Amino acid sequence: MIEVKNLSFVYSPKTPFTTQALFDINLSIETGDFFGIIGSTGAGKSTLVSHFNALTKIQKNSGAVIVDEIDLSAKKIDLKKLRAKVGMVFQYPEHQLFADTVLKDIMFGPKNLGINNAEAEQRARDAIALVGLDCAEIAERSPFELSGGQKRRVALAGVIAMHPEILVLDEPTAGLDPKGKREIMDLILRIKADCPTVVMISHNMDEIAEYCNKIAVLRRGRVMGVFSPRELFGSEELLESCGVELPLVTELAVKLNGLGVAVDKSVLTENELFEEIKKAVGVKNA
Amino acid sequence: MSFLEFKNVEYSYVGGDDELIQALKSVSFSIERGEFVALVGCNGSGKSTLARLCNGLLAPDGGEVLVDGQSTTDKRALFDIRKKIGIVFQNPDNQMVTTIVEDDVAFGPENLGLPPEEIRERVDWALASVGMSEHAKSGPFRLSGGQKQRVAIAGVLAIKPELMILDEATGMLDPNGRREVLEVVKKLNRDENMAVIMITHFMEEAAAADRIIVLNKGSIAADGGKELFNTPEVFEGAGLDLPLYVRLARRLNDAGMDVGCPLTADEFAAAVAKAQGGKK
Repeated sequence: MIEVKNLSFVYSPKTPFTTQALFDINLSIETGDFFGIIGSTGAGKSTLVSHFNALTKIQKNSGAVIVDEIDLSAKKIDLKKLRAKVGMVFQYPEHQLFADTVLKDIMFGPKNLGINNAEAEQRARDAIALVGLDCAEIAERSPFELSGGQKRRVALAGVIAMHPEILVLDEPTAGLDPKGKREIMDLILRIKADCPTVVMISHNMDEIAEYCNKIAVLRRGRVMGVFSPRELFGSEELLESCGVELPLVTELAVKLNGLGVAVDKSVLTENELFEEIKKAVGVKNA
Repeated sequence: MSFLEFKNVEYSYVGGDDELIQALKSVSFSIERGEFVALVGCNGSGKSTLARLCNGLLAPDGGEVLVDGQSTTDKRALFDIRKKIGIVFQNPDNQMVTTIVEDDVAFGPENLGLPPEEIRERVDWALASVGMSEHAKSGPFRLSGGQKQRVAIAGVLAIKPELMILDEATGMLDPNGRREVLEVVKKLNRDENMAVIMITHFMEEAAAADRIIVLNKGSIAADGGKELFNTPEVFEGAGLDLPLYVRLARRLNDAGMDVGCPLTADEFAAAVAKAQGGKK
């Protein structure tokens, strides 16, 4: 689990450009959570998660982050252990592919953990299969020849091959078309079977509503609260006060209520709304 | 004469395996001044290639692209054409050229050789239009992704193009940022009569346009108003989703309700309310 205690962070301290990105953040992400982090651009989401594998070092007297007993505010951190545990997938991860073959690219992570060649290759091949690509066809190709959606899956495979216990995803579906988005979300659910804890930053409220069991709302570097999806998306007042956009399903549910169609406003998926409308209007199941 | 005209445009490039990829196949359409067009299609359908052909960043292999009657293959016309058509790309990091936000926005008008007072005016106006005035003196690399994208849009606005193409320019923004940009673009379209081509995956965003062009595997699969939502096959065939309210309306119709084919979320809600009223 990840424990964030009174975490603050300042960019460019003691310069004219100093900006405080995080203010006294407290969060607890438990094993098994599909933990959503939302908030408008500049809210501090990416800065926050970059602490989780010590890419951003905790500043002096600025709180603590504890990942399964590893105290990231300590002077010396076992980075190898930490990074084997926490897999980080950045925005547009396909921009970080670099090797001349897909296989080598995916093997890079596990090899850095000190895993021998044979084992790393096996892990890479398993990861390619898990992300739904054909190993025989793709392993020896250059990652740069692939389509955008394939590249993103290769990039995800590179993180999966490290067998993380916690997967942190920064807007995993950004820039993909609707079909690509669904494929990546399905893939994340498959990964979650072996990697129990998933932390996801997303601007797509429909994805957040559908997949997450807990949602932290960040606003200007502060945590406005941690909610269950029904708590958050079922309450217009809460959404308003946190500055959160309504998911499309909620928006429709609110509009329907406004016109006297009494559907439950805390619906989270298209199917739930469909059933609610049928119930409200009195259509019998065929 | 149309403002922008594609006449049987062909474009191919060499892909990774040395095979020729035909990105656009005999594409013809025209855009009038002041139009608001959404260009939709799944990844790899040729949308971005089409955008780059509009202002001569790419030259067609076959056919012709005309802007105000001038061909984009006419090198002498390119300066003029790029004054008239501005493109905002998806990744703002690749679009920043200076170290101060307002300098970045001034880059375009400076290149047009405008007098300093007018440059000042345009920069202030453009930054205000995208809600970034308070960041005028910041360094662009210190901004968040969404903020950077708004600066990139301001940079194109400052050239006062007659057509602005947004190539998935809202793809990296949060919902608020996306709505802000959409509002800015709608306002510019309405008040300044600026034509807009909005390339997007967000069908709800496309539904805001007056006209929707669906691109599928390099060809135009459909071109029309919102009534296109009446023929969902067109979108499904191109690998796209329909807007949520259209999907729900179809499922409810299948389940025995009569909500017709609503073209906006409000129409959808009204149709459901009416169906409920009819039952009771």
